[in-house]
Amino acid sequence: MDYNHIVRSILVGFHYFFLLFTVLIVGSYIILAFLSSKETKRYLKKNSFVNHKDLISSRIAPSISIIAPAYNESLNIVENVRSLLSTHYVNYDVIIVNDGSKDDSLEKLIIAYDLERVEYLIDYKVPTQDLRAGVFKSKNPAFDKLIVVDKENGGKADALNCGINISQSRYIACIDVDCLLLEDSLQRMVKPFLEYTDRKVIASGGVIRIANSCKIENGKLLQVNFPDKWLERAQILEYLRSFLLGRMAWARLNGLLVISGAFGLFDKEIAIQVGGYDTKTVGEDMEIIVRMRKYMEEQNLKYKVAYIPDPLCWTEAPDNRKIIISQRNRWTRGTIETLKMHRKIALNPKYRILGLLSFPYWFIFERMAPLIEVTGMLYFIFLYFYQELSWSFVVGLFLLAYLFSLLFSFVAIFTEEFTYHQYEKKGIGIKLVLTVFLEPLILHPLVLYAAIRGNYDYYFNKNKKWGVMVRKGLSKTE
Amino acid sequence: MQMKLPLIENIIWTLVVLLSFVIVILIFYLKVLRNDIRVKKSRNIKYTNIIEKLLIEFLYSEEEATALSKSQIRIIRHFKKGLSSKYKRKIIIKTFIKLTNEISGNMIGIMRKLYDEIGLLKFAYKKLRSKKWHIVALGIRDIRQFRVKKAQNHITKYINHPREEVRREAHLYFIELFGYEGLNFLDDLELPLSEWDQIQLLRKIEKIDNNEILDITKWLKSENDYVVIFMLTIVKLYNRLETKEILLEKLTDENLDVRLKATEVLTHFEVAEAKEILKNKFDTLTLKEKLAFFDLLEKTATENDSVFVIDHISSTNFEIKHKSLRILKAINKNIYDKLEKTADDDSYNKIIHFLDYSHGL
Repeated sequence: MDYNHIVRSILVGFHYFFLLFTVLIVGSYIILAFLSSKETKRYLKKNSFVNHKDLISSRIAPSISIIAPAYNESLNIVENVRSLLSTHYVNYDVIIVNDGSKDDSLEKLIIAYDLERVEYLIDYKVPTQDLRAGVFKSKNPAFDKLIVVDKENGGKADALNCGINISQSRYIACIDVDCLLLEDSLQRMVKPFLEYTDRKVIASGGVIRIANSCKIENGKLLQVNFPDKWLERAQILEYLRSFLLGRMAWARLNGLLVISGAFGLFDKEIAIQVGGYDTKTVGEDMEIIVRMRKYMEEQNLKYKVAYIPDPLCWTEAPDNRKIIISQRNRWTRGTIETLKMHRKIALNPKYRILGLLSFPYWFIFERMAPLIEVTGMLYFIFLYFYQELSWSFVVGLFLLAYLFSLLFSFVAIFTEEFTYHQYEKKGIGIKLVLTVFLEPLILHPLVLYAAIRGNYDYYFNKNKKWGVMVRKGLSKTE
Repeated sequence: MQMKLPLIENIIWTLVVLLSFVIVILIFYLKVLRNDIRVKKSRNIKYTNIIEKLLIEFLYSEEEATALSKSQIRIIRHFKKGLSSKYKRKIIIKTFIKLTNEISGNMIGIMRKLYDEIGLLKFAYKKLRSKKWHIVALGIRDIRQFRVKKAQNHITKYINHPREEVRREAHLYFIELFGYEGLNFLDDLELPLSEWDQIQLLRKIEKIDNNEILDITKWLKSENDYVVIFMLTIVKLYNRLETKEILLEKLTDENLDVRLKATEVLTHFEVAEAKEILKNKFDTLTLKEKLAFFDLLEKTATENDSVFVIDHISSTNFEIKHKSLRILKAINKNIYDKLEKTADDDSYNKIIHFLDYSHGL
């Protein structure tokens, strides 16, 4: 066998590898799109004649604590808390955990809500940083649902754990303080926990929608608008694809591995059993779900991670490249950390769908996909320099990948149109189409770069933690 | 040495052409779809307004005369004509239901009569024959909303339907139409009642005018544990203390959830006998039961329980330790005051500090 023949065999092998990966990823997306459409139909049928309002005044509605960590959120904290206090539910409280903020968040809250320091007995079921100024409650009965905790800085996970210790409720809703919850969001999110009798629902997650440019007044979403900036538009499309297609399909398989940190409802007992949020990872939202699932599997208990496709939680998406890269870099490191931490689950039949399907899928198509994509690009560059490149093959493959990404974006848009039709204003249709074409060119390169940086930082820059997320505030946008 | 993979290249380029074609079609379809949704929405609003206007006209003219007026006959004819279209029928039913929930008194009766008169009931029965579970559930909902008591025999079949949505609608039908008598469906219920079901049923029970609730002891003894738990909730909410003996029996039930619920209800009634039963078997209780027992103890403890409580002030469980100390402080302040105020155990110190310096939260 001569040298040329060996090289040729290796190159053919690479060709087939990239082709196989493309076929697998496209195949998996087709299956996910199919499953998601089935699950969406099922959900809509199931809830078409449900009166969620019965929960508002029920004497047996289960208790829920909304836990919202806040770090230097002084700009919007008062309005954000007001929005959380406007939730339509009968048996809930709002726990704001001021995580060692250096700004005047606490002072603003004390003045706005007439707070006073109270003695509060805390059972540290989950270890957290010490309290700083202590626990505050309002002297005004109108705000009796509000508890503000001021503690030493320990990060988001630590603040959530502090909220878990403070909570006296059966369920905990962990949210980002700047998220805007629709009034009926708790009613909808808690329903799966109350419905199942043959299994325990350990967590439920909802769709996160992007509120940039939407009209918001007094913590209420009045009008859904489509932003002018391409980067924000691209993220809207990306979220639609991810939440309406991907996660819905995984919910159908009961294989969800992640519930967005922006809004998720958890069974407090199980969250405590597993030790609360892990403070050492930057992907605490994914990690806790994997750990809760692992715990249930090991206890041999039947369980479910539920998913609600209704647009219940609206958040502000970053509008500049730097922040997007920082955010996605963190997501990548969080994924790597979680997958590594729980690697014994992978392909382990003891963990059933978690070990045999969800985990390998996340490893190959979330963890490895950016690396394989970049390797593919480098490979083609290599071929170019060695004049081995069949342009027809390369251009065809890139075009095919591009067209498939357009196709899935269209499927997500059609799902949105057939179900919630949030972007109903005339003229948004054409903007959506343009976004579909441009998103792979605008957002995808950034996401890819952030993922590679995330990998680099994970292995060579261990001190890197959260990064900064600068917010403009939803109440100011229109 | 350029590599050629003609077959794969051909497949790739065929797919590229095919997908390009599909995407062009999708773009046009999106345009059509969005337009269609907008048109449908405005048509829906328009037709709903017409139906609402006609219904209100019908209702008010009914108040004035005993026989049907010309305009009423015209309205009935209009509705009947609309029923032939599935799209219009849906809107008519939706508007009927919406308006029925908004009006009161005599008008509800008129609406129901009209519902029957124009033939909507026939469609509701038709829905019951559907093979699709959600259509059946919608059929039962329609029949419930328009209080069709004569459908009772039809609905009985759905009490144990495998889909919880269908059987929930059937259960709601019985309670909404027959009041406490309707609870008899529980005799035949073999499947679970979820918490969600219980919330819905309780909402309906709360709306029953008659204050005289049926004898519920038979359901407290039901073989279906879900029925027992539901009844225990009713016992608590409606203060049915006459069932005390059965409640005490439930403390030894095989099902943990039943035992916990019974303890919760007995705590609500502050039944001291329950305290003695649970105290005697305390060591065999699960942690959840122990915590529930301490809730009961908080309400029923006397000085005689001091020894038992002192035994638990050094429990490894924070909540038990806290509750024990709190109870001790309430029933025997002398002994509580004599306790060491500081110990090696941090949580003990914290609890003592909290009990001494706060009014409790």
